[in-house]
Amino acid sequence: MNLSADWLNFTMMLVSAMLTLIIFSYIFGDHFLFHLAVALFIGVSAAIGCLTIYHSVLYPALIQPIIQDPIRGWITIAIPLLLSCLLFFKLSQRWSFMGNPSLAIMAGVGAATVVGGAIKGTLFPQIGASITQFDLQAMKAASVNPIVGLIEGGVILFGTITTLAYFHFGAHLTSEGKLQRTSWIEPLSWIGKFFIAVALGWIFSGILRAGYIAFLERVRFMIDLILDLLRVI
Amino acid sequence: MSVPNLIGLSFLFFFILILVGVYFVSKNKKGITLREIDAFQYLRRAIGLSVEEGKRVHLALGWGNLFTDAFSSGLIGLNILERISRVALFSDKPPIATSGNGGLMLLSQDTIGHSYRSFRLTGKDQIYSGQLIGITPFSYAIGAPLLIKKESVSVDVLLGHFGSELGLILAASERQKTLSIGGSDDLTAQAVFYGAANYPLIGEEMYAAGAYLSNNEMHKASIKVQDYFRWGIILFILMGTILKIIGIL
Amino acid sequence: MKINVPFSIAIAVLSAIIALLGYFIENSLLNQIRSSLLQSAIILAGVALIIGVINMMRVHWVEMRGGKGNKIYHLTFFAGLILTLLLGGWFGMSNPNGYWLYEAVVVPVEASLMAIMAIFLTYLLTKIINRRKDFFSIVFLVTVLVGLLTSAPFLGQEIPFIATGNSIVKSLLHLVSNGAMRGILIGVALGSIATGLRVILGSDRPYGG
Repeated sequence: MNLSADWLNFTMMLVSAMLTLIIFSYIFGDHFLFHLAVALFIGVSAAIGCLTIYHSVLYPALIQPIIQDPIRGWITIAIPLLLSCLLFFKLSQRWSFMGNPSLAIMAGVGAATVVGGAIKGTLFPQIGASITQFDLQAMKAASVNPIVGLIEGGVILFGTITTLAYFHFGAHLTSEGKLQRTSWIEPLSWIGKFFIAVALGWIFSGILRAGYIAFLERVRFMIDLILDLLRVI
Repeated sequence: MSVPNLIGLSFLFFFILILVGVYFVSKNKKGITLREIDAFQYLRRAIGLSVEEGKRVHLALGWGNLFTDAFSSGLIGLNILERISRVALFSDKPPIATSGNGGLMLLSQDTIGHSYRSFRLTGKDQIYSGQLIGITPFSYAIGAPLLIKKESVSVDVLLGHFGSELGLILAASERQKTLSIGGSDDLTAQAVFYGAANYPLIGEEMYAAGAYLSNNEMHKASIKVQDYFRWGIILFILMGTILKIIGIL
Repeated sequence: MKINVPFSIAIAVLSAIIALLGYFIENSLLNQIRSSLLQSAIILAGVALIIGVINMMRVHWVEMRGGKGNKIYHLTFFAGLILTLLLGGWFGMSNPNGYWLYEAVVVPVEASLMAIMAIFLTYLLTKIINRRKDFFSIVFLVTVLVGLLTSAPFLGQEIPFIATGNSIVKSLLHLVSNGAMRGILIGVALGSIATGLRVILGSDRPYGG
């Protein structure tokens, strides 16, 4: 059973165009059609998420092992299946506590991933990169002027240190009754905040750029569709 | 055991040791003084006001996966949800938590339920208190504004993993004249918060939420340990840099 | 239920310790236990998503029956959800017929939302000074404007030192941003470690404990 490809394409284009117009109209305010489009979008994306999870996680982990080897399969899936069934109790307010062990495993493993990932995936690589940027041998190999390389590395290092200084939380009460960090941390943290404002502004401009490109792409799609329709008529 | 793993394990060991040590030492002392952060000062006031005015606090937990680093900001969100729900529990409109991840939704329902139980109260229907709004970043970001409008929210607290889509929630807050406070582990989201939220929390500031909004000694000890380790890392980087330049490292 | 709470704490702490040690210690037995644990956790996350969607359906159903909001919104949500499940389930996710609604609904809506988000963010940016009257907001605003100018010519004109290929301004912005971003990332990592450890030590219990 295959639906006609042309019919599918045409309907898809038309639905896309209508949805684009409806979403764009949200700029001027909330309205009935926008709510409908959002409800449809949330419903479709939720279904796609469920299908993806079923095909990529649940089927290979809970169903395939039983199909391949029923006895070994049941043994393999017994614990995850039991935990999964227990998690469904969370749908009931009265029996919700039955799902606590399953949720505890998720939270425990999640917390471990946070700690392990932060140490091995962020902290160590960032500290390493802060130091290796001063590798004179590597600068020579890459034909970078060592003085330029050291200045560039110095600016980055200064930014890193002052940004870290900005985050310092410990403070003391001044004679005017204000909470302040130690006198030598204050100027460093001020510079750090300057660096942060520049960095976040730079990222923000990138977000705007991507958004403007998406905006132009959608406008272009609408113009192309109108021209195509006019040609057909 | 490889050298990086050994260093990692040692780092972890010292972090736990110092954390537990600081916790027990500061428990018997007067407490830790922290610098002022506008967002937390405002949040404390706003929760009280929303209870008085009979309005709702909305806490957005984002769409962070439980098994990535992104879960850290979700954990902070859940912690704050507990504090908010304990204060706003007796109001006509208890807080509402939204998320873009099934695991976070279940954790948020549990957190609110736990607050009710701790006061021996029967919770309002949990399907409303913690909701999954959409399971993709955009479906969450456009679903949440509709909820903000429907539930007459007075404060939007956004603590979790977000991307640039967050701009849609903040725009809706602005339209509804709702004040927004937020922080995230994600750099893109931090930039959006800085440019579009009323009270942004930058980087590590979000992780101090528990220490600022409660008297939990463990949270305060964490902040102190973070301060120690931050300066330790700065020293380590400076020493490493010097050794690198002179060619020893 | 009182027995259940310490039991949950024990499970959370034990699973966290096993998962965390597996990050640093190379031991075949530990790795085996850790990978089974991770596998179970991933399955649970998948099931949690399904439960989340069921919760979402319950909210729509209860609101529809209670007359909260327009019934048509809720019906549209159910129509989109059920139709996609039927098409995707019947044809399979790799078949264009099964994927039809994704292409027709999700792709254009996400692209359009991205586009209008840029408009909203531009508007919110113009109000930054109203929200926070400080020096750093001005620095942020100026950086955004300069950042935009570095990527494209202004009114057809390339601004010297800003918009040219590898301009001085662009390089300087790169350096300053890199430094701050590294500092933010290290700070976030420190915060994450402390946050995760509080759960592992059983101090923070977000799982009904």
